[in-house]
Amino acid sequence: MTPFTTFTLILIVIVLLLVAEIEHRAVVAILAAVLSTYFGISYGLFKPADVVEMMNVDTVLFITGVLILFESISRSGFFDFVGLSLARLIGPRPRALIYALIALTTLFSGISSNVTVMLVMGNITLRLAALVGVEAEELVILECLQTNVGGLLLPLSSVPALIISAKTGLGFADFLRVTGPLILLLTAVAMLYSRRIGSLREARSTAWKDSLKARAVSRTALYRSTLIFATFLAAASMSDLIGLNLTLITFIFVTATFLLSSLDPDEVFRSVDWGIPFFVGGFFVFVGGLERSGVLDAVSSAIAPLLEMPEVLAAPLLLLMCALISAFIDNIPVVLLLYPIVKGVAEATGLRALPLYWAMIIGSNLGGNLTPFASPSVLIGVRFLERRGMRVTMGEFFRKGVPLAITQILLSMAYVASLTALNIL
Amino acid sequence: MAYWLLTISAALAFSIGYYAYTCIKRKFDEEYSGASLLPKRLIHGVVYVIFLVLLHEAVKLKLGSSPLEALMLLAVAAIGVPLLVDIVVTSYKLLRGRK
Repeated sequence: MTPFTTFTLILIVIVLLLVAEIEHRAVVAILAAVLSTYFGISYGLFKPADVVEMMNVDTVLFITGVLILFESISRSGFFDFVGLSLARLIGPRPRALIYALIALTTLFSGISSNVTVMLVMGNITLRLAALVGVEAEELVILECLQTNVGGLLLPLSSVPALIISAKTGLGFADFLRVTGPLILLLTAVAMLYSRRIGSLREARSTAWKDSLKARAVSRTALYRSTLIFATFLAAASMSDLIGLNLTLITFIFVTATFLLSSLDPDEVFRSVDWGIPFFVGGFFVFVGGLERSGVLDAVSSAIAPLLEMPEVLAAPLLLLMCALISAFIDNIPVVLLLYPIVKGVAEATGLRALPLYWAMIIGSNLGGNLTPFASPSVLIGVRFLERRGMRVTMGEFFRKGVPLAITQILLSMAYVASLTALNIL
Repeated sequence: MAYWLLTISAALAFSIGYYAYTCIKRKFDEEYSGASLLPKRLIHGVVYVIFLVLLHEAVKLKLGSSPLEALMLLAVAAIGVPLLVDIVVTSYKLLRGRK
């Protein structure tokens, strides 16, 4: 067999395993890395020393550091504290409360892991919704969708954004400039959509006050972690000015968090989703093998004619393609596989690559909202409701969540097309 | 002597291959017995067949063409042929279920 045939077979195996979700995605990525390394070295495509370079250790470490920081800010009780403080401020007014919960979920997902935010906001929502007579099920489904919208806020808000920003050098300012207005637009649409949530009534003020008692957290840990995290965001957004690598900045703040916040490092480490760095590292090696065996070039050549059109059309079309694929497969492998392909297509067709990269970031994030199983936060949100006796069937999800998801994807396509036409991307 | 050694090796290769297949079959029966899980069983079967092709290629890359390759092929066939039958049967059940 030629290296091309062998790596094509490996690609088929990996895609099948990911689509069918037969094995844990981290195991699939490690398998992909092991097979790629063995065959790549045996065929002489690369040397053992090249594997470390292919793994993009810097990106993997950056992702690991961000996950640790996310976990520490979550463990400090920050989200509970802010959510309940805001509810106290708003009072028992159902409509205002729904808007606030939607906005907070979006904002929190921009600065933390979507799954963590979903669990915290789900709990707060159930507590408050019961008091103000809001139908919690539909509101939690909307929050699930908004976690993926929030994932567009910053380069560190979602793994696809992390990967593409690490590869292309897109910074905090770029994200705020490009995705900031889009997030505002999509959140406003979600708020309008939330008006269909029924059974609203005013709450009794005594019950309301009782419900706002937050769980006991260490105030010291809360304030210090919040301060460290806010400083981290500021430092990371100015990494070019400071002249330090983003990974180094992240680990400076990881160290500071452990030294100053009085959080238990063992507990934080135990809660980090270690599957993500293993998955990303393994998949980078796999993608490197596909590149060197010529498989990705062949895929790029096959896809190039599809995107041979003006950027104004190509970018939204790619966004839609990414969204549709991400509706069935985890968005991390989608981005890891598509990034080199799209880069190759841009080089072959002479299209500007940046609009295509933005389309990938947006499409891969929002695509997870089209099914209840593609995005971890949606899956967790649906399971969260089920554990509390509110079963969300596939039909219910399609009726309550998918119309909003489709609207948001269509609006994003129009947004990307407009920015591309105006040469802003 | 060489003839006996070859026969024992071939029997051993076939036994190991067939034992591996029965383990895979048991796993499939436990996990994918329901009608709704048949597509997964089909995909997993295809994945295992491709694994066997890759395994053969991996061994061939290290050993080159040698008598061991024939034994390897025998073991791979002992797993692969029943797996292919399983894939065909599952596809048939899936198609019949859709009618």
